Amino acid sequence: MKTTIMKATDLCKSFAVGGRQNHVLNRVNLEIYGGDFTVIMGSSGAGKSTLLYVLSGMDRPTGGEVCYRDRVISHLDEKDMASLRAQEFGFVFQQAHLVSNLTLFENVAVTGYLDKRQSEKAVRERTAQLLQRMDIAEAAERLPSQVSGGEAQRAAVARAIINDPGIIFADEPTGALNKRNTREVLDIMTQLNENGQNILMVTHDMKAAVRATRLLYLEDGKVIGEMTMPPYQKEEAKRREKQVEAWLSSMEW
Amino acid sequence: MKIRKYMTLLRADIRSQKGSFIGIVILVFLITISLCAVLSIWDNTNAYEKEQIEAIGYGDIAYWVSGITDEELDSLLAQIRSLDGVEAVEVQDILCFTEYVVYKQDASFPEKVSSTSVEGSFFIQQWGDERYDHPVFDRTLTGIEACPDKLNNSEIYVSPAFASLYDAGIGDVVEVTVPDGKKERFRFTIKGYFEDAVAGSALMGMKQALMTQQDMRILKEAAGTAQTRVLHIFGKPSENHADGVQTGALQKALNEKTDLSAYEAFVYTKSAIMGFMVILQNLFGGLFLLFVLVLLLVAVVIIGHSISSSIALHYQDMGVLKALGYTCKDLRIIQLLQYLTAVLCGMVPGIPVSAFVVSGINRITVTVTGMLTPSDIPLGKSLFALGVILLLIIAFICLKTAKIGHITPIQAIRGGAADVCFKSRLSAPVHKKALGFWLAYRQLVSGKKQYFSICLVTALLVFFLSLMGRMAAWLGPDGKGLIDVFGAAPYDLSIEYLETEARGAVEERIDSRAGIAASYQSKLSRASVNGVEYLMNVISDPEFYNLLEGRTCRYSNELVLTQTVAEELDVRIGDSVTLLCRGEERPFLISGIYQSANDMGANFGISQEGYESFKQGAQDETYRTHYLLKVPDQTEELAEEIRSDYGDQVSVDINTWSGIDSIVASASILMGFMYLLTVVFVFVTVALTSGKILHKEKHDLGIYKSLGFVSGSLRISFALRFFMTAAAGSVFGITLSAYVTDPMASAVLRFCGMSHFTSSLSLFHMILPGIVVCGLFLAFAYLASGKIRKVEPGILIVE
Repeated sequence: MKTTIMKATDLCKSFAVGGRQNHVLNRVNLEIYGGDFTVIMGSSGAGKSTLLYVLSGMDRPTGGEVCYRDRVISHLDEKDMASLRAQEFGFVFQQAHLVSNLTLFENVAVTGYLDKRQSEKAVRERTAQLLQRMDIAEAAERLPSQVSGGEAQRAAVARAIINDPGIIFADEPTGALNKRNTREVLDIMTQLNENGQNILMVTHDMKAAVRATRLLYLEDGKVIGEMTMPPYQKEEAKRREKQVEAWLSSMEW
Repeated sequence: MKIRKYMTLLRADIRSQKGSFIGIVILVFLITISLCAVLSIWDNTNAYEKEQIEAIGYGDIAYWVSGITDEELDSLLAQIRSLDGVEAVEVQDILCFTEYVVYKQDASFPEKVSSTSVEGSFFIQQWGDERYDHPVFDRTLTGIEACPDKLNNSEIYVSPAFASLYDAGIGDVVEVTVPDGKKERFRFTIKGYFEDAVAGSALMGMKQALMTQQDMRILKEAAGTAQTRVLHIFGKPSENHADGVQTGALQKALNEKTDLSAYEAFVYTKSAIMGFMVILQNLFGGLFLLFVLVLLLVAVVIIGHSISSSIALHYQDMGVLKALGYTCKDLRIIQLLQYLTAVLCGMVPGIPVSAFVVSGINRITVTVTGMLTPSDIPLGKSLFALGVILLLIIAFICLKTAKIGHITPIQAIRGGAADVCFKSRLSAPVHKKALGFWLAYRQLVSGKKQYFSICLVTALLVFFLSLMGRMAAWLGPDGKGLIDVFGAAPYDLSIEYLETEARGAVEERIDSRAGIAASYQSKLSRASVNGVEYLMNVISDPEFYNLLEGRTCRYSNELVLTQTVAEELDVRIGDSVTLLCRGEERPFLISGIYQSANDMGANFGISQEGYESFKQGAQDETYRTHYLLKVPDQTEELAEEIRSDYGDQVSVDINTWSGIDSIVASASILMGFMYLLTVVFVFVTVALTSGKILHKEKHDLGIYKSLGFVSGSLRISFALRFFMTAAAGSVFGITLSAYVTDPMASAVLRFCGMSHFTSSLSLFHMILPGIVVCGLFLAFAYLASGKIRKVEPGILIVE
């Protein structure tokens, strides 16, 4: 029996475009379970990223609510939301989005400093370990402009997990990476999930989608399909790819 | 077609940079008002004073003579008229009172104000005499009466400065005691105020009043020969002299070839009187002009920052425009037009508004200046000054927009000039404790260039305010600094013993109450050096002179003079000059240069021994004894005590003068106004720079928010950057002021005869501007950072 860590009820999000309301999310209901590597897929403009950001509190819904571990988070004030982001949520964006004047080490450590439970020494030690684990220890003292896109994205992943978040939100984390870097970042995320990290990822990349244990399909602002898979095994990659392809075809992707 | 093209882009640029546009308009508007106001005050004050003093018939040189019979006067006038350089001589009857009392209309106890010093004399002259008539103010002191109320007997008009000095108003009573004779007393009611172009300034010790012809006749009869006569001497215009009349040469001839020196009480040339009357306006105008120049520099720095940021922000747009066919020249012209429009929008309304400001200043300061100067703006001079400023700004804009030439369409299409950070040597590790501070510091050292303008602006503002602060510290809350500079030697208490028997008891009292640290005898007289008459300080112990160079006049054939006199006579230490004193001429050696701003620096000093060596230096000469007290705080109380216990036997003065309160108050108002302008300038600087920095850092702010930072901590961190930059600028400004204050202040204070200025090292006055400016930057930056609240992490979303 899986536990629900996040639940969206009748979630709506509209944008006013040229004086007309554009309903990107239309009464979305879904649950995210503990231990899952959930991937949201859908055609372009289906509202995938919007759903991710509304679920993560980066954006506010225009209707409905989001609960995280039985706590309604969609209407939290800025301070509580910031505290939740610092301690419970981790983010990996399509671009690395590192602070340009901080080194990779500092980009990771600064997030750790926001966790009041950890001392500065502990944060620095953990940062060093994470950078080692991400294989970017040598680039630790470099600025984002001095490293490759893959190194930057791996630093972004390290930043996302420095505070042991309850869930990682990833928006097309491999969208701006080359093939090799894509594989490396996905391997890290898969490994994190194997170690119990909850992940919610948006992607349209098949290579990324096969890493999921649960796939959701979004169309016209609604979840219209779902598929579960066993944890990812490298040797089953081709088979999973075909399985996902078939499922996506059934969704008219 | 081209103009239409420019106009379209110009409108779009102004629309997209409304904040910068408005900011520059405000800065230029304030600078224009201040500049035109200073020019107007300078121009009008000097011209109006000249016009007024000529209108009341003041001679090129005026000698106040007393104790002269009618026969002696006729003979003297004949001598004067016979001189080649004299065009005409006119005699004005005047009454001089050294003892007068002001009674408040509704006061139970009269406020007694009396003075025995020449500088404190109260002169009364006849009103209604067309030759010497003065304009009369309306009751509100906001205009001149075209047809003033006829003065009745027992009524007088006084100057606004007199009223202000003694807190007297219309209806109050002034009682004068006629000198000599029977010491008769007469009372007059103040009917109103007149514009006194001769002694109307609060800075001048002597004061004047106007009375009816009949009252004048009665007082003259009572005074007998004690009445004073003013001899207005008009020189023949000299072709080779810019001012028309060579007063120096005329004075020399008058002193050498007539008996004037035997009768004169004192002498003032027209230019000296004009100098005294406009000294405050010139002094404060000079200081304010310096401040305006600092503000102009600040505005140029801000315009420069705005141009650089604007080019960085619109790099891509400019590249695209180039791709569409716009040339570098086109884009630079548009930038130039944009900033020139803002500058002109500030300048044009600033000119007429400054007339209102000047009018307001003139009305507020009428009790200090004594004159209601016209508030017309000198258009020619103002337009010329503004034109020069405009040309400088155009040149600066052309220089700053040169980098537009480096923009290529391909760079723009590839994403513009994205900021690439490089590691700074000044970087320090980011720590958990005081995280906001460390992040602010990192932001600061990573983007030093964009904070440079703030640093420079702070340095300039703090420099000037610190300079003013040092001058204020030197001036002191009671104007002691200035008083000391005006006197030739320091003292706390000055007593003239009218009855010598009182000396022992009085000195015993002084010593027991405040302790006598030192004492010396001194007196003021007048004598000619190389034929030019100056105020002469005579002192029993010349070691007390405020010496700047050389040594004091230790021997009876030596004198010390001010830098002003040395320059005027073109002499230096070691030179020999001819001193004419009491009809006897003798060579004297210049042993040193000393400082005394008395008579606007037109004075010299000799020893008592030297003075008395002149054959007519009679033994019964009266000297004042000056005391330096061990506990100077007691001076005022002690003076009152001695006045009340030995009133008839002594004349007591403390080291202060009538106009000092006005100067201290004016300095405080000026400082207040400068701080007010500083507040506005800091506000505009922050508004202009913060908007662009926030726009540039929007992305990083989004990242911080997505990590869990709250707006509050990001705002504090943002404001801290401005604070740190301002602190660095302040240190620079304070250091600069420490080195530059003295020579700069000396240059400005030459207006009032001071050739040397040494500022006081008051830590509080020195660092206060830095604290204020840093605080303002912190507060305004925090307010401006309110936009951070609106930055959502959602900006990182790429759909």
